[in-house]
Amino acid sequence: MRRSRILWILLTAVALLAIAAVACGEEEEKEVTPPAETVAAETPAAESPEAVTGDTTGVTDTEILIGTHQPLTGPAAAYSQISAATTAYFDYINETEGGVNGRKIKLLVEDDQYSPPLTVEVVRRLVEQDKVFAILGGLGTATHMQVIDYLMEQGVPDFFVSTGALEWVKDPAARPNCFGILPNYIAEGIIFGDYIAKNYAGGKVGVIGQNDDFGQDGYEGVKRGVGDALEILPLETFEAPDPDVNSQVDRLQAAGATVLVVWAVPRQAPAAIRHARADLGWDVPIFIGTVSANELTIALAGGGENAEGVISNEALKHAYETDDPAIQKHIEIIDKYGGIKAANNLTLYGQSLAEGFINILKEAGPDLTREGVIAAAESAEPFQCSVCLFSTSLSETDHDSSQAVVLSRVELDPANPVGAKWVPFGDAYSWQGVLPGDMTIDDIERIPFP
Amino acid sequence: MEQFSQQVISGIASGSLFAVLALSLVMIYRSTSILNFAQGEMALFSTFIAWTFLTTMPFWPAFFLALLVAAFMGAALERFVLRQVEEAPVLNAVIVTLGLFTVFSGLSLTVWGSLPKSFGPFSVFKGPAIDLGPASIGRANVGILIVAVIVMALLFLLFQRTKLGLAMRAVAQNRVASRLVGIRVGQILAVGWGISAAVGAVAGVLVGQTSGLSLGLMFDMLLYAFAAAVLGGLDSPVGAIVGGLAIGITKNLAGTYIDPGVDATVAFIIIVLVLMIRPTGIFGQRVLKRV
Amino acid sequence: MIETLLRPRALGIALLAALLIVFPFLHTWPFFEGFIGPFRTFQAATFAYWLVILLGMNLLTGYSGQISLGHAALVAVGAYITAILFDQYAVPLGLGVLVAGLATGVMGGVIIGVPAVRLSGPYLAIATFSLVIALPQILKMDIDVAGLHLDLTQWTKGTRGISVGEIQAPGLVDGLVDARQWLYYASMLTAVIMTILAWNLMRSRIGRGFIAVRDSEIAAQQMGVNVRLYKALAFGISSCFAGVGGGLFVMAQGVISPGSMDVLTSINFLVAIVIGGLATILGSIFGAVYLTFQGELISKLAPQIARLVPEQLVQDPKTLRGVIFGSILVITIVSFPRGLAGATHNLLRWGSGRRAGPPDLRRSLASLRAVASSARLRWPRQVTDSEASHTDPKRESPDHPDEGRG
Repeated sequence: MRRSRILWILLTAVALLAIAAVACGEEEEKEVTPPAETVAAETPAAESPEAVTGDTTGVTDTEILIGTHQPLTGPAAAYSQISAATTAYFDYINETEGGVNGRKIKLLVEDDQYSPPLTVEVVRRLVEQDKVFAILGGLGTATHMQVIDYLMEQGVPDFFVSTGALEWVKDPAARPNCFGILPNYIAEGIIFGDYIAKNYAGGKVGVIGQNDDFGQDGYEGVKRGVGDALEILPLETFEAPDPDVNSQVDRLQAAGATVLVVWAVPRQAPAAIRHARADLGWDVPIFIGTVSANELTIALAGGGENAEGVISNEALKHAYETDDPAIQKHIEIIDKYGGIKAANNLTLYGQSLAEGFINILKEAGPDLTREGVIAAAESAEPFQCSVCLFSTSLSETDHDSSQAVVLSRVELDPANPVGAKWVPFGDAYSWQGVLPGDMTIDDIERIPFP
Repeated sequence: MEQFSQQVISGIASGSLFAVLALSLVMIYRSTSILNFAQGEMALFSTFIAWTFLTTMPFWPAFFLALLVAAFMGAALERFVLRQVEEAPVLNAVIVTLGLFTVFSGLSLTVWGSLPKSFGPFSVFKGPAIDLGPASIGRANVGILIVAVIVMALLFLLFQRTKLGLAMRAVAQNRVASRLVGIRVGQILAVGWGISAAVGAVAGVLVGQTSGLSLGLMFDMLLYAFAAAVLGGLDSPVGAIVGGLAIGITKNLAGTYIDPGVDATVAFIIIVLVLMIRPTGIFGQRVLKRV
Repeated sequence: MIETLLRPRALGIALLAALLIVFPFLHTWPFFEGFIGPFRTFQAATFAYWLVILLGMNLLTGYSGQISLGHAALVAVGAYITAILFDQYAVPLGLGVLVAGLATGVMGGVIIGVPAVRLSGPYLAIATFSLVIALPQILKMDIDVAGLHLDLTQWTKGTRGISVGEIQAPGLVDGLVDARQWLYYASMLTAVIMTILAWNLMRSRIGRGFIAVRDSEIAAQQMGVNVRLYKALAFGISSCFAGVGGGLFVMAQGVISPGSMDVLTSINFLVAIVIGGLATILGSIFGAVYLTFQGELISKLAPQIARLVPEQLVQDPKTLRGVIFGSILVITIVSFPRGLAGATHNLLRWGSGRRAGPPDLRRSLASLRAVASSARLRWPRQVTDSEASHTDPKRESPDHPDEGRG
């Protein structure tokens, strides 16, 4: 008995000491500021022979190593098509052009199953074990949110995060290493709102949005765009794992909504369309966010029958435009280098990521460093990838690369495997150089399309 | 009033999906006392198999063939995989089902690719929405509800009126005693898994018709299906239906009359409260423990 | 004295302690540079918080036989409490972790423990599952209901979550250790303390009470064990561990948001303790190793195995990852029904000539007797081996871990 008592006393003493030590030592930074030095910069192996100032982690004379986190397995595995296409395009460039400035690009795709705890783990491994040069196209709002601060602290360039949430691009001074690629949700919302105001004035707008930045930003945008032209009903939220949004759609119908806007991924967006059309027989005009403007949504909504007439916005060309040489090339590349038999919105998006990144690498030149590539991205000329509809540009004050879209709607097309296709209409919208923070419809200009 | 009835009807529509999957969970729990976490993904796999059959034959033949394949798959799983952990602590079987969850999910991805498939609605489930006065419900959803009730009735009859059902209940309660009475425990367990895999396939085909056939079909649904099965009582097919509908309706009403931001929270609080009053679910059997 | 020090167990503990102390510096030594980097130091900190969480879960599921699938939520609560205290009230992280542990313990004991006493088995599992489902909504709650305005987001910062930044070493030791090494020491020390606590707890009256309740609720009740109290206590204590683990988690990761812990994580905890080995400290350790390394192992292993599969059967070998992982899981649990700890134990026994015997009935009865002989709950004290085996003059070694049932 005496032995255990001594043990307890010792334990308590040690515990108290430990707490005291840790308590006295807290000097955490509350603000996440860019670091002067990074852990990775100390590794000797990555230094190139020439005296290059700056962080050259992940860069050797022959290779550039980059990484990404994607849902390769699990319920969101449909998105794995994106990274498959990106990898195929890099392989194509590596083979036909020998890479960029003599360095082949190697993309490490890690599976996070769309689960934020896993994202943290794989990104840390990419940065600290694989020692990647940059992260490209990290997918998902909830998932990437877990690592955005970490990538900041480590000074890792975070290119083309695949989400439109405000957080990423609103303040380049606070997040100098982070660049967006999807049109931000506020701009999208303003554009929808403006179109709704011009075409459906006098009614009520119902908005269904995911219970996070996605839904909230989208709702804010719609409010700004609509202004006084229609009454705006309170936001109907849902959680990412919800199997359907029947209840939300019902409430909006009961509240007298004459237009619906749905900020959801191709899980709830098609469910909303299906419920409104097939279950309620309600032919309310429906607008959905660009993340759902693809064939997945049409298929899951029950085909062209239900999805016909749904409006969204796009910035990429379409797989069915087979007379476009760029599309032909795309189909050829993903088949030859990736074994992908059918092109779709996702593969096109994947290629656009690769093209955008290669453009920046070329701009950065042969002396490749992390700081250098960020500076190159900010100073590069506007660039339009072969499968993009608009050119994209970045600057020191604007890290939002995709700032132009065109509205498109679903039209029946028996030739298409899902029975319908997205067809652009009207003039395009452009907001180059405008940050989403205080954006209004006046900041967005119309440009002729095509 | 109109809002209320539409919310209830929509709740019944969502809930019927939880209910059908919950039926397969109840089936397997009743006959083997195992919580099969892989049920959803097995159902998904079976639905993909049905989809493959549907490319070459009409709906009903493809449907029943898929059920048959699923049943064989379930029985084989029991015989070769679950049999290995029969003697081990109960949690081991749960872990095995978790492993199977990942295996089936991965197999679906590997064999059929990552893109969703067009799936239905088929034959009787096709058609315009049905107008019920102040509310309307999708035709497919009504079909699902009817099929769910039919399956529930079949399961009920199976357990209460057939010798096979009696043998299953005996095996679930006490394997040693069952062996002593001459019941071929191994066979019974295999049949139990086979039937529940078939019920799962039914669930998958039904749900696929309303939500599209994609890899994530059963993932989030499984949780709600478990909640439904537990709420209704894990050994009661009737409970599965009641539980599923209850959860669907509660979630919708909570979202409407409290706040959409807490609908799932309220629904689950209610489940816990019900369980506190009836610890084995609404229709579950009270188990008397002997020393 | 030298003799005592040289005894194998003492030597082993000393060696382990030495390894733990120098680990963060290993990668600077010439021999180890090739295969250990500063990343491993971070992984060790990760291991530390997984271990603490799993110790708690093992207490609950292994020793007291109650299944909880809601532990991820408790960890998140602990993490949030620590983060909120730091972010809004400038409470030092170390103190925050302590408070988080206690607060989560109380919350867990009351909110889950009290309802849980009526439930068991799958019903309990699903009821606890509700916590993980509901928590994200609760964390983002900003609603008006019945005239009341309930806004938790002023503390939890809603979907953005709370960022606490990178932990820094205190001025005292600045220069000796860098931020990451300090994190390692803080986390590892906490983990060691919690491990000793758990070990002590399980050998005490409370622990015996848990085991009694697990093995037979009715028999325990007959013997005078307050079953309800012990069940709630099991939840309370394991929530405490979860809370501390959560605090360590946010210290290491630097950020906590509603998405940080999800349903998958809760299930992973259960898998980890069963694979590791229920009702043993070693099992929790194995489980923590599993959680720390499984992602990496599968990433490395899966492509190798996938290469063996013929091209015609599978177009994209990357997708086989899930199948491979699931299969390994099934094979492991089938081969090692008592988990890796159980296998290790059998191996050691086999090595020393003793064979695995039938469950120690004497020990179970002794635990009941030992608990019943005390009328009220006291601070845990060691049940000495003379009490445990007082009918048997031959004593087994005191660190013999408890046999699980069946």
